Amino acid sequence: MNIINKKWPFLSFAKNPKKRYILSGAGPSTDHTLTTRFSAVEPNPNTKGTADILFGFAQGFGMTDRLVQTISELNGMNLKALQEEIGKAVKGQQTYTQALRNVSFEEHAKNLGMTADKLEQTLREKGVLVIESASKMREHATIAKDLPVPTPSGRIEIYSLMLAGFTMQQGYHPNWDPGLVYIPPQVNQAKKPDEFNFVYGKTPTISYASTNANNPILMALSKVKEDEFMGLWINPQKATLLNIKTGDTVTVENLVSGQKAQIKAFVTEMVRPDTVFMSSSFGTENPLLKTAAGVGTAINKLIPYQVEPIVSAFRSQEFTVRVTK
Amino acid sequence: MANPMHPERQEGYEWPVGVYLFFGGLGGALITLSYIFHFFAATVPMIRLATLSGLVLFAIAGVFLIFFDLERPLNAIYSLNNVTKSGISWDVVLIILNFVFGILFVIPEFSNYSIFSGLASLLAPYQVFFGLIAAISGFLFPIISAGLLAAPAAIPLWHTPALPLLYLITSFSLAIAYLGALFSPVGTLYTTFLGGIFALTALTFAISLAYLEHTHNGPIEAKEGMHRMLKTPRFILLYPVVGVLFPLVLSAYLFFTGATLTWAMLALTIALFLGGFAARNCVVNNGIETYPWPY
Amino acid sequence: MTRYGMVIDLRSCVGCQACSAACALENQTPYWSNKWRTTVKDIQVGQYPNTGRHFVPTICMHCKEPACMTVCPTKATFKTDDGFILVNYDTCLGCKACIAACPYGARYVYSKEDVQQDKEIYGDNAQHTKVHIDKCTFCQDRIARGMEPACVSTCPTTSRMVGDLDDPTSAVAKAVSSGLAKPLRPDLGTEPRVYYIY
Repeated sequence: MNIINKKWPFLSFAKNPKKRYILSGAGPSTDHTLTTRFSAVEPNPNTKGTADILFGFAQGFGMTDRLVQTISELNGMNLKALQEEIGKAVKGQQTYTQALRNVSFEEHAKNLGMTADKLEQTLREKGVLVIESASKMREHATIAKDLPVPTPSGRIEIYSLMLAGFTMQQGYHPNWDPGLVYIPPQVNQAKKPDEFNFVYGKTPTISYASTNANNPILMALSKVKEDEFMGLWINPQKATLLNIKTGDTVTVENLVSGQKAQIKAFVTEMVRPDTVFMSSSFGTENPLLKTAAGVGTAINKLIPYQVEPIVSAFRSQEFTVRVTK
Repeated sequence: MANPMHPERQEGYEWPVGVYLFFGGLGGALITLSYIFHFFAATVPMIRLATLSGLVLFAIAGVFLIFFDLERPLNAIYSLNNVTKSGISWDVVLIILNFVFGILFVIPEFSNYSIFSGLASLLAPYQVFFGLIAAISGFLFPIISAGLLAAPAAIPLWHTPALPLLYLITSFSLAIAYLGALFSPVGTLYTTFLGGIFALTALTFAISLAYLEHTHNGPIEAKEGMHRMLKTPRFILLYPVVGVLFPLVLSAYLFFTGATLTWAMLALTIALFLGGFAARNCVVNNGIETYPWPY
Repeated sequence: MTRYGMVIDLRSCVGCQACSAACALENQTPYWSNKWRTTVKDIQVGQYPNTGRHFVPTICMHCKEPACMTVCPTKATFKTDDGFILVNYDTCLGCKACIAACPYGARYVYSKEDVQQDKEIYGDNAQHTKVHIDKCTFCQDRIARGMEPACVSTCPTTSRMVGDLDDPTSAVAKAVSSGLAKPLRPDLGTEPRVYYIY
């Protein structure tokens, strides 16, 4: 396991970057790297960057300073520099997105011994700046291989003081067990013939959850394989049993929450007989999304709000469903 | 190689092509028959009617093709650009030949009408020659037009010489029945008509079996196309039953027993008409594209 | 003269359909009518649990012996000096003989409604002003500018490659001459210039 000197967590402000975007590591690469995003087209003038939206909320709550402080604490950004740049944004001299970007660039550039402009130019040219490769870092920044771990078990023991604190305050609960225990998913293992595990995923044509479903070309491409992309995948063994054919409208019922939704079936070998699958890409009802509104079925109709209290996982596949024609 | 899980119906040809093939083939057969009658002491009205009906049918067929099927009818003026290779160019040539020489052939038959008498006497010496060209064009039209379907290898259901033969023969059997229904021939002529219908329908039966064999033992797309046709009740009723077996049995009975039935010719005409229509319409609708993909 | 060919590697195609989208934008194909010059077939094979999917991009093969050119009555379908098969929009009759004759399903009708929609979306830049039968042109404009066809340059997994089939150093020529890349349905005698690795 690598322990890196400085860790710059990725702040996912994913909307329209004006010029620069804040810096982050290069995704799954374990090298110590820096990369950023440059906008390819001018953003729609009727949109705002995520940072601007969030700061808008903060201002509404009268919590701008608090937000600045939190960003500084969580990201290790210099508070004074942040306050100065955000101050300019408050005065309307720049956007909040730009402000964060400037701070991010200044700090990284300083650490690398170059100016922010030089850093930007380098990133434009190289795309990814490798500060130090993983193999090099392993030489000086990891726990020595043969050093025995000074624990009673002789192995690395993980214990969370923070979670232990919750236990002391709130009493024990598996969700905040300081030893991070396994909590089995609450799925009914003994299922009836028309009961299934529920899983969902994406389609090749729509990115993220359903971000660009309204794009007319992408929607047209999705409709080329409408059965497959917008249907409920069900294995032929079960489909025959339940007399379901591709194209039949079926009702899917969440057996925990009672939520129901209708969707067209797609009979395929590509799903386990005890499971049904659907895409998360479709089903918006927002009438302003003229291409996507009313097309397909939304997973929100089936997934209840049952967020895990510690890391906010949606537990979105933790129930069984009944499928009926 | 083909995956029967993914058969896709061809997109190019729809029902107007079926009508075009049907009426055009029938028209060609009628013009050819009228030429034959010219030599065999048939009455003048029969020749006139056969030729004129043929021309009318060609006109309807042509109209159907041009105005109901073509995406850009006005570009039809370019359709003779590829007479060396394109079946459609050949068809256009044949239609023109049929019209021009069919009209030139039939005008002398109207010599008793004063407005035509001058022209009729001018054309009469060449009538046989004009008629020959019209007859050859008329004979070729059902074959060549079916060649539109049969020539390219992309649609295995159609890619067989059985199809042009079938369309040729059914055009002639229907043409004979049609003329028989209109003129109610008697005596030897009646027997000849019945014999013709019987022989041609027997041939239709044989070729249909050969066609069935081609699809059954041929490429999987052909088999799939034929299965779709056989699952269509309209096709089963109209073609094998009404269009082939009924005329075959009736004409055989009448021909071999010498019996006469006043409604026989009309019944044969209707049966062969429905069968002929189904044979073209259902084949055009069920052509399955060849499946070239490697999985 | 360059003899362009394309090799499509089915081992790396992931079925993203970016090629269809890029082509639709570059060539203003009627995506609104679900008609595409290049599509990606999604073919499932096997039975659970041994199932798989194969993605097969389809495109006009620009055959050496094209069935579509033989049947065209107006010679609107013609072959360029480089061997590309193109359609003359002015003389195309719309008889659809070429659609029926093509064994690879490469063609479709660019109808009157599609032409109207093209004009509505692209205005003065509309490329399709007449009804005709449409198909892949191998992005002739891009080739003329020394670029690759849109589908090739957009492919994120570099499953599509173009090159000179007569240049023995080109990747496509090597793939074809080694037998790794094969044409589809060679028995039909069309001699396609698009080869597949599978």
